[in-house]
Parts: sequence; structure tokens; C-alpha cells
Amino acid sequence: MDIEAVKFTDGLSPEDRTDLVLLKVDTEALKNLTETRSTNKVFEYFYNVCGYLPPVNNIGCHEADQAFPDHWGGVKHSHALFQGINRPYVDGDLHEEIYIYIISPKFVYKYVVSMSCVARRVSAPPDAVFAVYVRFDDEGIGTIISWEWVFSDDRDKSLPDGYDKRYSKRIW
Amino acid sequence: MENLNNVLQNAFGFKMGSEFIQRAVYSASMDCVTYMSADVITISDRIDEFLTVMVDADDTSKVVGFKAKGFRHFFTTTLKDKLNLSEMDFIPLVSVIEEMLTQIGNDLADGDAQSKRAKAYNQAKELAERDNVAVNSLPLAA
Repeated sequence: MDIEAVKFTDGLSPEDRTDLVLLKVDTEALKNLTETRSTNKVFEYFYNVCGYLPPVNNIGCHEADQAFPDHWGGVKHSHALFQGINRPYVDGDLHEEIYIYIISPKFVYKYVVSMSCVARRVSAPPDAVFAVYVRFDDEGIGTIISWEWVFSDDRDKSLPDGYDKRYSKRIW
Repeated sequence: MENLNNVLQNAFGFKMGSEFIQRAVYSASMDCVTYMSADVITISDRIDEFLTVMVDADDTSKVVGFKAKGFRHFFTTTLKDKLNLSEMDFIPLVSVIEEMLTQIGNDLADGDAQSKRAKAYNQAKELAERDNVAVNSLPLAA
């Protein structure tokens, strides 16, 4: 695996979704997850954020009868972008600096106890979308500070529950 | 997990821990404390601007974690003086959730005790109590 590829990934530009921007992970966020051995969250980082298969032995062996390898993961598949998390934050309006990419992945890799492979591809949770939280610096490089599945909205299943209240505004 | 550890080590300089640890972690970049009781795929359920609960994706009735959001903000404006705490203190999350409940108490008082919101706060509080969850200290720089 290309080591640089897991440190940096492509995202879509807030200004123009046909342009790419460089995103890097907040290493402290990832370190906290590795220290606590939160394997499912680490698999989400590789597949649902970066778009790479979790780097574990025999990946794909559970999916031998399905289309594989898959290239369907990653924040580059976002279909909506919001700005501002509309909640108390360290310093007043700084929450407005957080952008939220929304993706509807087909799959997620689940940690399983197995001699052959510890990552099994399963369908994405129903009625949920994947959210990736990013802050951009002055050079336009984004730092991925968090990621999570969130329930989708009854009015539009491709968007997070209460999207019109939980975020300040929709960018695209 | 050897490949995963090699990739993490080469890219970031750290590896996976040897076993899952139930630990409340403060994120300065998100200004929240996250607690997870199990290593499962979760869906986050935003309860309000202060609390999000995480449910097991395979059984969405099961709360397995929570986030106390705006934590430093809440600590500075409310908790610090009220509980006489410093940033280096061990901060029990059950006290934090109780204070949050006090803050939103007026909202919940309107015949709302059985609401999803009240239920979620109680579930988070029960989890914090059961697992004796605490934040070791807050980083001085937010």
C-alpha cells in the first residue's frame, strides 16, 4: 500500500465540487482510535474516508463470490457538503469553520474474529449516511477531524437527520 | 493485524493497541468527549446540541456510547466553578451529564420526561455510571 495515500486523500472542493482538494487526517484523532483498538473506526478511516481496503491479510476472502476488489469507498464520493455544526464549541463561532461531507456508501468493513481475514465487507447500515468532518487551513488543505455514521432524514434519505437544523448551511 | 500495524507505523508512527479499551477521549478539534463501550459499528443519533448517543448498527435499540459536545465550552462556562474542578482533574462524566440535564431541565419539564431526549440523557448517564467513565484531564490548549 502507498503510505502517502493513507496520509492524504482527495476530497471535493467546497468552492467547486468538480475540483479536488487535498485532505489529511488529524493524527491525534486516529491515534486515539488505535490506542483504544477501535478497529471498526480504523477500518472506516481506510475504506469510507480514504477509499482503500483495510490493509489486513487476505482481504476479500469473505467476498470471494462477489465483485472484488471494490473502489466504492471514500470521501471523494460525497454528494452533499454542509458548513457549521451548530453547537457550543471552544470559541464561539469557530464551529463555522467545520465542513461536513456526506456520503452514502454501499459498504462498510466490519471487524470479525476470523483465522482467514479480520475484515468482512457488510452492507452499510440502513437509514444512515456517512459524515466526514473537515477543517481547512489558509492554503486550502483540509484536516479530517472526525467521521461517523449518522441517521438519515425521513424527508431525504441521502441527508443526515435534521440537516436543516444541525448545520449552519448547505454548500452544495 | 500485522499489515495494518505496518501501514500505521510507517505512515503515522503508531500501531493498534493490544486490546479494546473503554476510555473517554477528549477531542480538541471537535471539542467533545467521546466514550465507547464496545468496538462495534455505530450510528450516531444527535439528541441535541449537547449530546449525541451512539447505537449499535446491528441493534439500534442498544446505546453503546455517547458524545458530550462543546465539552471545553461547557467546562469553562459551567462545570469548572460549579464542581470546583481544574483542567487537570479527573472529571467524572456522570457529573457532566447531570449538569447538562440541569441546564436543559426547563426544556424537559414540560411533560417531556418520557421523550426521546430525556431517555437518551438517562441512557448516557446509566452508561457513564455503569462503566465509571471519566476524562483524565483536559489538554490546556484547546
